[in-house]
Formats: sequence, structure tokens, C-alpha cells
Amino acid sequence: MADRPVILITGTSRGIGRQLAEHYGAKDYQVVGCSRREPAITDANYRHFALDVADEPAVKKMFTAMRGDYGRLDALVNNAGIASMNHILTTPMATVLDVLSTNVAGTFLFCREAAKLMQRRRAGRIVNFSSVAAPLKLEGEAIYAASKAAVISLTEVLARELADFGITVNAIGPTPIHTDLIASVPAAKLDSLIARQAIRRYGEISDVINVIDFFLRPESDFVTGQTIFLGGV
Amino acid sequence: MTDRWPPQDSGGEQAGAHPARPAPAPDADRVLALIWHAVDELNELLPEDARIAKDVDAVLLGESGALDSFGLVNLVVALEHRIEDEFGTSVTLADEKAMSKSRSPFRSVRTLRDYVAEVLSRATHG
Repeated sequence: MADRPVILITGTSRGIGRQLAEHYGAKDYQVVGCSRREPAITDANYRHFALDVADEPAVKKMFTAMRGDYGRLDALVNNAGIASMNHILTTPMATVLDVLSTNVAGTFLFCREAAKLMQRRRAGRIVNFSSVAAPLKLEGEAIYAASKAAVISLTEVLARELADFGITVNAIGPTPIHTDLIASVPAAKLDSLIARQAIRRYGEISDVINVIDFFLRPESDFVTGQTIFLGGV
Repeated sequence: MTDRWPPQDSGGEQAGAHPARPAPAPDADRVLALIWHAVDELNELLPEDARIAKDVDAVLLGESGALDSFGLVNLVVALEHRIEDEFGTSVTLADEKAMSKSRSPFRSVRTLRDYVAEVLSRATHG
């Protein structure tokens, strides 16, 4: 069994996921990451699996490898997600299925497989990614917002189902952050979104890391089923 | 280090994965041995008076059953991991078909043994 904590982070090829991988690698975690594309992470503490998070056979094989090589999983961060900015009348079904597959089914699959590995040691931390798009009910993001609302429900129910196994399940709801996810969103739309926050600024990746660090702390073992939104949403 | 799943070719073992093993036909004794390993794991978590007897006729579910839902989940997960280690194949024991059967395959050690052998036979021989 690995003698240092193991953290699994999805969607590490870029953006928040990549920086999370570097952050926890620097904190001497064994970091396991996955994404469809190769990341540019060269940290010795980092190991990558190239896969689609909703591909069940591929994901199960990755967990088999982790169980064989590390024998433990201390934390899972379900960061992988895709967005779609479109009015309902012009949103293709293929987009709907893609967003639900990655954001909801992928999150579910990783929670399930991670919990199987975590329950052996009666301890674990799962952090899911919701979004302010859900509580703000953003027009033009119906399917994205719905998928992130589903992540909140999933988090709340799994928190109860997994409590007896010593596993906490929480979520973070970031505001817009300068990453590829929002690169195609018009500035005026982002400005009006930020105007609805209590603290009116873009989020930083360090804001996200701060909340995840809190959920992962040993002292946070009495905190579960919660979604923390950044920016006072 | 990068692993690509599913493997892009069948030319060799993927780094970090269990080696590919031939899948021998499961026999009842071999399956029963896996069940006892899983029962041992589960019993470690249970108070002494709630432990499962290592008896092929032990009742697992139902009014006189030894398992509550927490115990059943634990047993299924432990057994799936044991099967994966022993046979090199990943199976899902608690699928919808199994859970919707009018007579649960999890009701006793004996029915569980027969069910696991059937699932393994399907998984290893198509």
C-alpha cells in the first residue's frame, strides 16, 4: 500500500484540474489524473490515465490499476466538466447527451468506484464540481445548469449513503474563472453574471483550491453533503 | 507516466495494471473460497455477535438473514475485488437483473456461490 495519501483528480489536461494536480503533487500526495488529452504535467508525483470519464470499462480498469498499485484512495476531486452555451431552441440533442454524460454520469461513476476503494479503510473525501450556473438559473445554459444542479443532488444523497463508510461527499460551486471553459462566453454576459455575486470579481483557481483544501482536511470529517458557492452566490 | 485505457493494442501488459491472466472455468470450491475471503473481510467490521457463519447454508438476507444493507454492500464490493484479483476480470454482481430477481441470489451462501459461478462463466466464456 502507498505510504502517502493518494488523490484522484479528473480533467487534469488543463485549467483548474491541471493546477489542482500540481498543487497536491507539491503537497506530497500521489496524484492520479485523467483526461481525454495528455496534460503537460511532469511532476514525479503525477500519474496520468488517458480516458473519457464516462467510459465505464476504461474507468473500472483505471481503478483496478490503482487498487493494485496503491491499495488506497484518500480523495477524489471530480473536476472534469464540459459546458454548452446555447438557447434551448438551438441546442442539439448530441450536446445534451455529451454534457450529461461527462458532468453527471462521469461524476456518478467516479464516486461509485472511488467509494469502493475508500470503504476498505473506512475513510475518504469526495469533492464534486457544481457551478453558480445552477442557483443563478442562467439563461442560455439550460443543460449545463441542469447538469450542475444534478451534481448537487448527487452530492447530497451520496453524502448520506456513504456516511457509514467514513466517506464525506461535498461540492464546490465556482463563479466564472478565467479558463477555457468560459473562453467563448461574451464578456457582457460574464459581467452581468458577476454583478449578481455578493463579491463582484472573477474567481481565481486559488479560491477553488482553498475550498477543496478545507473539505480534505482531517478536521472536516463532520462536514458532508454541502455545496459551497464562491463569491457569495 | 501515462496509461491509456482501453489498451491501444494487445501486444503487452499495460504499465500499472494487473497482468492479463488466462481465465480458467470457475468451479464451486474456488468460488466458495472467494466468498469465505470476502466474509472474513466483512466479519472484521462486524461485532462478534453479528458475524456471518462460514457455512454454505448460512442465510444472508431475509428475516433470519445475517446481512443488513450495509453488510450486503460490503460483501458485494469485497467479493467483486476478490473476483477481479483471482480471475483478472471485472464483474458487477449487484446489477439490475440480480436485484430484480424474485428470489435474490444473495439470500444464502449457497445461492451466492451458484450465482457468482454463473456470472463468472458468462464473463469468461461470453
